[in-house]
Amino acid sequence: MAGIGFRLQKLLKEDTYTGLMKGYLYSAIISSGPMLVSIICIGVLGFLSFPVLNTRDYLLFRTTIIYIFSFSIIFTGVFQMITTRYVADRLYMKEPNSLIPCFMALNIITVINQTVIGALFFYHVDKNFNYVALSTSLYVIISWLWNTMIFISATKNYNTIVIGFVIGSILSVIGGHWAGSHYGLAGYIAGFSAGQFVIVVFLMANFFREFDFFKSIDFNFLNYFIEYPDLCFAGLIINLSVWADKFIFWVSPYGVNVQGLFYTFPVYDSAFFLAYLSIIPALSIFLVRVETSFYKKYRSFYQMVTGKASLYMIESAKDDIIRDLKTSMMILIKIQGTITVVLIAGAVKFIQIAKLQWIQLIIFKIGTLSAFVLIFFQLMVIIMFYFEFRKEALFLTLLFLVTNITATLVTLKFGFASFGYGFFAAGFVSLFCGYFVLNYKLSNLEYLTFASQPILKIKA
Amino acid sequence: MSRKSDVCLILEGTYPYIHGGVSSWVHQLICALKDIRFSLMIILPNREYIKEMKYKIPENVVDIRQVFIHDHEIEAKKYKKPNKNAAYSELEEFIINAANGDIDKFDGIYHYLLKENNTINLYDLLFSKYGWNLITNIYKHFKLNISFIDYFWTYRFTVLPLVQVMQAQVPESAIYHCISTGYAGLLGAVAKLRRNGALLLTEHGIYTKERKIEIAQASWIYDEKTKEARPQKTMSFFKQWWITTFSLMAKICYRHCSEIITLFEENQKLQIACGAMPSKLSIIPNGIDLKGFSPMVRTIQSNRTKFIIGFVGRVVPIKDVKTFIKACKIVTQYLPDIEILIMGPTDEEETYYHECVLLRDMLDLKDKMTFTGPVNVKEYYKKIDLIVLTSESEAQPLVILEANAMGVPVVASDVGACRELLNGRLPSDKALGASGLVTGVGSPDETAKAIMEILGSPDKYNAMSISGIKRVTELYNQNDLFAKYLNLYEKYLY
Repeated sequence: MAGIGFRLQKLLKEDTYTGLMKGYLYSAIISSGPMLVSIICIGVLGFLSFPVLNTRDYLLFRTTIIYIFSFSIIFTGVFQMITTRYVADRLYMKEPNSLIPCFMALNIITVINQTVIGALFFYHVDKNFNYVALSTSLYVIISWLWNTMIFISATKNYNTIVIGFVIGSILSVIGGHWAGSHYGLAGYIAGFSAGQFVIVVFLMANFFREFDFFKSIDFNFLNYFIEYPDLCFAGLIINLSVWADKFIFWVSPYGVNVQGLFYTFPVYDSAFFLAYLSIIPALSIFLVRVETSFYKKYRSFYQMVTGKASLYMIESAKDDIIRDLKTSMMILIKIQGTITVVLIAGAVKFIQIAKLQWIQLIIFKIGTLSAFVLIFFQLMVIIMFYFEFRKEALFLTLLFLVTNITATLVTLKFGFASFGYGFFAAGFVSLFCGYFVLNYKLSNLEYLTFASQPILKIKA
Repeated sequence: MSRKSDVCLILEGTYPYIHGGVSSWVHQLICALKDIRFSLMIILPNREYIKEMKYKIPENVVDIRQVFIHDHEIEAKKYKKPNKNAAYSELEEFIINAANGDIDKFDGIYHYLLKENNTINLYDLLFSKYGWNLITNIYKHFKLNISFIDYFWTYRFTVLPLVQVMQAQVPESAIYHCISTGYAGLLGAVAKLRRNGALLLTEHGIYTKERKIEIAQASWIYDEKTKEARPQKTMSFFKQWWITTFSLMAKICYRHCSEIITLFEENQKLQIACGAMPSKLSIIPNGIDLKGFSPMVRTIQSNRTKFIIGFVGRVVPIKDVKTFIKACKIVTQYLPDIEILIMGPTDEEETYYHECVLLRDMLDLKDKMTFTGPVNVKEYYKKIDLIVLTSESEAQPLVILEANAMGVPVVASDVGACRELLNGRLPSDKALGASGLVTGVGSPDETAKAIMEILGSPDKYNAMSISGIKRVTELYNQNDLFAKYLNLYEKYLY
């Protein structure tokens, strides 16, 4: 994430309204692009598919896409943090030539893993060869997309990125609809995949164009699993914890068995997905603030430490960081708060527009509140990674996973009216703990920075 | 090997691992006092130093222990002690006072740092919030404005050896005898406080002063940049820090000593300046073993013009060989037949040696002056008429004692103990008469004048020869001097 900072700063320097909007738009896409695309595509295709697909096939299509997105992000999550760290370190060490070899190696691992996992899984959903082959391909493509997102923040051509996403998404919708109306379910998946593939190719081309490489493949980054096992777990748990409640509902007595291994609970899912869209503005605002104003303060703190500054200067640099984070948080609270209030007040309208069922109204309302809490929690975790509080970040993600599972199981006992409250409660508790942990850590930042230095062996 | 000893010698970076003047003195002391059971507490920088013993440990050494002050095995035991705040605020107060030279509180806080109490341990000092609060409070107390990262690391590297020394497992002993201040002195003070033994100190050189010179020249210590082009009068903060640390260690040691011994009076002035109480001071010079020397009262004929003048010492800048060469040039103008021998290793600082050779040749002394390299000086003394020393700095040069013991008068620059050795220190000593002449440092003229004064006056020469032999045999007999230590030990043993 570090690489993007300088460019965003430049972008914002124009300081015109359009410059600012551009900055936020790019950030939104980088921070939440794939999620945004998938939810919108499913929604749009849902609208369009009714006359084309029968209810069973539509449900199968929808479930396939949801499974692909959720499981691909969870499995690639194992590599996500590790690779992000590796990329940041290489850029810091001024070794941009090692990005492509790492990217290639990561994708080789991903293709092999995900092909095996995807094929085995989809075979147990539907034995139809076309279905299994197409679903597995899409699964691999989306996994690629996640991998590409890690590297894309190191490039500078935001226009290409945005164009890629827009063209790909349009292609996904049109292609899916066109191929679907000719070839049914398989056509739908194939068309959708084609659009996603275009996004991946666009992003990859953009990435490859910018970096040189001496050798094509380098598995060196795997050493980071030994060096930073906590990053591996954190990457896995962050994504797993967001999906844990959905998984529980899918296999609960309320869930629906679509076919084979496919269990789902659209009543809960779609309300939540719709609610998740509300965090996109906040996410992009945060990204811009972190990459510009926060990052400057963050860097200045460490420059003070290593640059022989006095204790007072170091302390005031720390205070600057804290003040900046508080300002960011206040802005976020205002914006996300407004959005949440508007969404809850207008929930009835949104439910109508999105063609959801009335029983989803309550879930949608608590979903927007949950999204509010979740975004703050995740941002806190990201900040912790910035400061190398890896153990604490891992602890918090684990806390959220455990509380989410527990609270969701409890709501199952209480019945329909309580659905969604489990996730909200888990998010709230984790956010609460996270706040105290981060607050403690940051107010002791200079102590932690110095005292964590190991004492070197002196040569006599 | 772990019987209780009578005297525990506390040694820093010397015996038995490193050759040198102090090491051989320690060896001879232990050998001379066969009835005393010694233990050795050896302070070394790290384990690499213990490869090889340079001396055979005498039988009367009953225990040897080592502490490696820069090796660190820090136990991260974080067992909770109820509350260390009180101990840390006492420590903070001590450090703030100590920075101003006041070490009164040391007796009240040292026990917190002992291994058996472990209230203030290395882990906490280096890594915990306690240590952090300690250093930031002190930083703020003194309103410092210096590089914090250097402050932090200087603190760590100050604390590390100090705590290692304070936590060293000292042999049990009735007397603790430090052979220097510094870490050894601190260890001695703590040992005395813990075990209730007596503390003695013998300083050959003044540790604090030696360190001060070393630190002033050190390039590894961070100097804040100054905008002024002219050289600074005061040393940088961190150099000052190290010097203060070493002088505080000396101060703590002096305070707990019952006897503070050194070799000559010059040193005593420095000790007093460093905080030693004058009432505790005494002098026991180094002696020589007279066995190998055959005293020979010398006389010279009044018409004699051929002399052999000797210079004994390494050919290095601190010995100021160049002044000696220039002095010889002056002498040859009056006594053209003299022969000059420069006896000592020439390979230690080769550029300086080559400069000396060049100077000799330029002054046209090539046929008169010889660099002999290292030789058995005792053999040469027999034919040498006069020994000359022009050093810029000396402690108590044994050359003077050896030359005098053989009946050879000496001309020496006025440094260290030279004046005491040649003119006598105590009234009875002075009554023996001069055994040579003292000259100004770096003065070829004075040196030449002194040489000619002695060689040009047969009566004076003869008197000096007699005085020298008497003085060395009566006052600088090694066995007598070690016997003084035996007396001292016995005073505190029973």
